[in-house]
This record gives sequence, structure tokens and C-alpha cells, in this order.
Amino acid sequence: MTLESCLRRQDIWRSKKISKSSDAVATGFEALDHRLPGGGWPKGALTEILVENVIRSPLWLILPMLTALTALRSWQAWINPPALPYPPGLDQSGIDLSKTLLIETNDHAEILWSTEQALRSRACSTVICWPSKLTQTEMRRLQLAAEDGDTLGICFRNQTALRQHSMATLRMRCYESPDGMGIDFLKCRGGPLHQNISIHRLRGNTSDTINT
Amino acid sequence: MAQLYPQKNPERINRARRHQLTLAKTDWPDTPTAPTGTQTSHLWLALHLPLLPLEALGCQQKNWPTAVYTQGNREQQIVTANPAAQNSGIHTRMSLSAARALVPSLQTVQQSIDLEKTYLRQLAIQAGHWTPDITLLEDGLLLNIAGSIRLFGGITSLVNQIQIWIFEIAINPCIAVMPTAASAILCGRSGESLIVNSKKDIRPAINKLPATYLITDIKGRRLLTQIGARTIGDLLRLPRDGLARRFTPNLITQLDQLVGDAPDPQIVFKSPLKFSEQFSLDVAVSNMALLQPLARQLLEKLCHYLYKKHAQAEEMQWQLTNDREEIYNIPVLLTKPNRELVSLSELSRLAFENTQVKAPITAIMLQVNRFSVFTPSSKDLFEARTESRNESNSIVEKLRNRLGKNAVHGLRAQADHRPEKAWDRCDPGQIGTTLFGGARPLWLLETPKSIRISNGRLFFGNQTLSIQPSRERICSGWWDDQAVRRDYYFAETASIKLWIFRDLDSGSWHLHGIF
Repeated sequence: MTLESCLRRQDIWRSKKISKSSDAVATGFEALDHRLPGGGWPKGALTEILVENVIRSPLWLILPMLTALTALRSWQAWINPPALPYPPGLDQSGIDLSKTLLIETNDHAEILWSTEQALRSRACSTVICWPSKLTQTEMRRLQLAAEDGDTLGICFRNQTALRQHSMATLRMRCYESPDGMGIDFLKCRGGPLHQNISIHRLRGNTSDTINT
Repeated sequence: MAQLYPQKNPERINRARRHQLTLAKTDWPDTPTAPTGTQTSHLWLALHLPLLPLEALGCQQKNWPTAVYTQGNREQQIVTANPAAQNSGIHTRMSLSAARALVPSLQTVQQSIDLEKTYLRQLAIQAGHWTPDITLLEDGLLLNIAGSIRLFGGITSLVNQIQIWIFEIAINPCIAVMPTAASAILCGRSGESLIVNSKKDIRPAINKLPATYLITDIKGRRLLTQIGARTIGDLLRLPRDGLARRFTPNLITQLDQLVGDAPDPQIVFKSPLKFSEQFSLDVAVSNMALLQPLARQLLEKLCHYLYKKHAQAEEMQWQLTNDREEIYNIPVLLTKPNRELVSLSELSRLAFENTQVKAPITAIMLQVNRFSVFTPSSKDLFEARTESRNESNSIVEKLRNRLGKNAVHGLRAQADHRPEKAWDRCDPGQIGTTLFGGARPLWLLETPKSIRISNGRLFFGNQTLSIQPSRERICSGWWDDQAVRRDYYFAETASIKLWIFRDLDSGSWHLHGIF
């Protein structure tokens, strides 16, 4: 085995160099695409997004991806959203409502079960879930289910889970800042960390801040 | 159910073997491997039951002379007599009084056409094991077996199986297999068992049959003797126009149907679809998991039934009874008709998991209330796509069976100006209306949240909201007492965009949506 062939492996990560894997979907935001390995949301994996308040989960951040993936499979599952994903608004954003599957249950075990089933089924292009709490084992189960079903999973959680170890492939924290939406990368398999960006969706420009 | 599978009674089988039919010509494939696609799709098996009136009435004893009579125009006439009575000299169309005089010990029963029909219907349901294409005759059944030959291992094997079954339940039945329905019925009635499978052999088979089988009225029969036509062969040889003039034009059609020159459509018997099976448990079971093997057995029966009926289950439900005589109904939610054992048992398992029973279960029952016709879909060239379609339905079924129907929905837009009414939950996959109008948020708060005002500015948390000048006025709903009169605005903080409104009646500000 030569060094070149070794370096071409996807699970080899070289610091400061972002690996280019094809299993990613463009986020629709240039600054974010630029930071993420593969140039977008990782497919067949779980992405964990920590927010200050789950009711203000930034749907707009994942919207371009949802629109791009909608034709791929039969369903897009929304599991236990904190408020109503508003059908007229989703429709205007280009999401195919006939593929929307809304699962509402308060039972923690049922939320986990349905998320796992949806991720594993290969019938959902995206699974977005809002679990109230997740242990490390449960997170790992969901990550494995996403890999198994080759499904893109997004998990919105409150930022109180910041200190918890996570098995998700991509983990980031979104916070509201005067410049727009700030994003901290907490974990990013195959990409560099400690490079925070902020995206201003309303003004359309982005600014990067690099903390080293 | 038990009678569907012929029991291996050696004596009966031997009797059936003695009546073993011989294949006249081997045009029809006798091997299971022979292709059937090139053959015509009609081969008729007529099942004639000479003692049907007796059997329908349940008169099964053989040693005692028994006869069935009917009320004729002038007198009561014998319709059927069992072999014991026939041996004593009783024959059909004999008057009842004459018969009683001949055999004083004769047991007589009046004919019941209704019972005969019910009896034939029961037989037809059982015969559905071999073919779905069954016609009820007045004295037997007519089965179109063309499509079943390959499945049952060739024509001889199929006919033998049917023979074994019918010899089990009927006295002296007669089976005739012919390429046309009319000739099969005729040969069946003649009492001569035979298999003829090509059209050119029909004539030799029916030539010798008496012409009186076709012509039943007295005037016609007299004419037959006058022109010296005794057999059907004689009739077939005579000039057609002359026959039509002397008898009826209908006779020509009948003759054509016999030899297969005229179409002869048959009315297909449709057995009523019904499935309800149950197990009573000797030992009450409180663990739901222990019910699974029993449930599976019932499901296997169901799938076998569906397979035979070319049907699919549309609605099914389990019924558990506990030792306090309480009944639990557990419906299994199917998004589309199904007849796969694996998926049905998986869905049942999920539905069971959702059920809590208070006392041990003593009986388990499976019912299917609605059926639909099974239409097998042709395989897609691109396998993966078809697979995914099945999966897409199965995930919704799975979720609904575990979480309940009310936890899994689709979303659709509704034509209503009021934001809270412009959508509803629906069955997954349904399509609503397309809305036109101003931009709508991605999140909607189902109850609008009031906004803090301080120094003439609106605050969201502790951030000031800047309001865009454009506004959308929504005044609607006066007709259903949920009227809204609002001015909607877009408002922004540094990072989020909100959808807020001012109530025109109270003047208060509310947050309704988040972009």
C-alpha cells in the first residue's frame, strides 16, 4: 500500500485539509459548504444541531437541503417538532408537502423508536427530529440507523447538551448573534474544528471568524 | 375447511381409481412443465351429480330405498331414487303412488330446489381450490380448468384430485372434460366419464348421445322420431336451414355451441368473501408475546385463504377475549391492501405491543372485514425502485400500528385566508391546494404569543424588532364565529425573521410565525 492510496481513504483525516467525500448534500450556504467535509451535510449520517431554544430551530438552514433531497425517496419525516412546520410556508419554500410525514408523540421511547425506524427504512430522504433528551447510547443507535438506512438525519437539541459526548458525525451549535446566525463546529468528522462562521441569512452575506 | 383437502381414505381412492379416466388425445399438456400460454383458455369440466336432490336433502343412507318426488302438473313424480330404490324398480318420472305400490317400504322426501342451490354453492366454494372459474348448473358444477392444469401437475392429475374429492361426498358423480361448455354438460349428464381436449374430437364423443338431451318438448320429440334422427350425430349431419325450420333456430345455436362454433358465455359463481378464525386457549395467557405463535398460525390460514381467493386484505382486526369476558379489538392499520404473511405478522406484532390487557387472554380471533381483488404488479426493470415503493408504504404502516393512527400524519395546505386554518393534517401522501399570496413562515405558533411593547418599540426577548413597512391585511372567517381582523407584518432582529400581526379590534401585537 502506497502512501497516496492510504491518504485517499476517506477515514484518514489530515489536519487543516478537508477531505472531499461525495456523500454530502450542499447546504446552500457557501460559507458553510466551504467548511464542511464533502462540501455539505453528510449523507447517511446524523447531524446534531444545538440551539438556544428549540422552538426557534433554524429550519431555513436545512431548507435548501430538504428541497434538494425531496425527490430522492418517498418521505421526509418530521418527528416531534416543537411547533407546527407550517405547510403553506414549506410549500412556498419548494418542499413537496405530499412527502411530508409528521409524527407527533410525547413518549420519549416512541420518539426514539420512530426516529430509528424512519432512519433505517430507506423510505425517508431526510429525518428531522426533536428528542427531549438523548443518552450517548441512544445517540449511537440513531447514528448507526442513519448509516444503515443511508438516510440524512438532523437532530435539533437544546444547547444544554453541549457538554455531553455525542456520536453524531457532525455536531454544531447555532446561536443568534448581532452579525446573524453564528455556528460553532463542535465535532466534524473529517474536517477541521475551531473555525466558527456566522451566516447572515437576511442580508445574504457571511462573515468568518477564525479562533485558533 | 376440512373437506377442502381430500382425506386419504384408501377405499374411496380405489373407487376413484377404478373410474380412472383415460386421455383421449394428448394435445393438452399432461406434464407440468409444458407451456400453457399457447393453448386456448377454455377447458370445461362438468361435474354431474345424478343424486343431487337426495344429497342436498341429506339423505345419505344407501341400503334403505329412498326417493325424492316433486309436485307435477297432475300427480307427484319421482325425481331421483337412490341405488337401493333403483334396484327395486323405481325410476324417474314414475308417479309417486306407483312407486309406493311397487316398494311399500320406500322412504320419500319432497324435492327442495333452494336446498339444492345452497348445496351446490357449498360445493362450488370447495371447488374453488382448483379454479376460480366456476359456474353453477342445475344438477352440478361446471369448472373451467384450463388455467389450473399446469399448477396441479397435468390434466390427469388434476382430474384425479377432483375425482377423489367428489367421490368423498357424492354418490355416483360423473366427470366429463370437454373443450366446450355445452358438450361438457351434455356428456356429464349422459353419465359417461371422459376427457376430450381438442375440438376435433368433440363430434366423435357426442355423436352417439341421444338427441332427446337437446330437445325436451313432446312435439319436438315426436318430430325427431318422424324424421328418424335418434342421436345428436344425426342432428349434426342434417342440413341446418331445414333443422331451423322444423325445430327452432335456437337448436342451431345449441348445436354450434356443442361443437364450439358459437360463443357460449357462462356466469361465473362468486363465492362470498369472509374470513373469521379463532383459537380458544386451554391455558389463559397473560404475556402478549406468547400469543405470537398462535397469531402467526391464524395469519398463515388467512394468507392461504387470500391466495386461493385471489384477494387481499383491506381491513383486518384481532379480537382478544380475556377470562373476564372482556373483548379487546385490535385493528391492524393497512395503508394498502396486503396479503404478505411477513408484513402482516410484523404489523400485527406492532399492534399487539400497543395493547394492554387487564386479565389473561383465553381466546384469540382474526377477522378480515374488507377484501379487494389481488392485482399482481409486474416487476420493474429497475428493481430498486419497486422495492422502495413497498418500503415507503410499510414504514407508514409500521409507525401507525405502533403509535396509533393519530400520531402519524401528512401535512397539506388548505384554501383559507386565516393562517391557522390554511393547513390541516391528512393521510400521508395526500395533496392539498396550492396557495398564492404573501410569504408565509416556516414555523407557526398554534397560539399566537403577545409581544412586549416598551417606549413605542416592539421587543422580542430583549431585542428590538424592526418592522418592514409592507403589511398584509387578513379579515376573514365571519361565517364560522372564528373571525380574524389582523394586519400582518414581517419583523426582524439581527438573526431571525418573524411574522407578527396587530389585532385590528384590540390593537395588541402578537407573534404568529418564525421564518
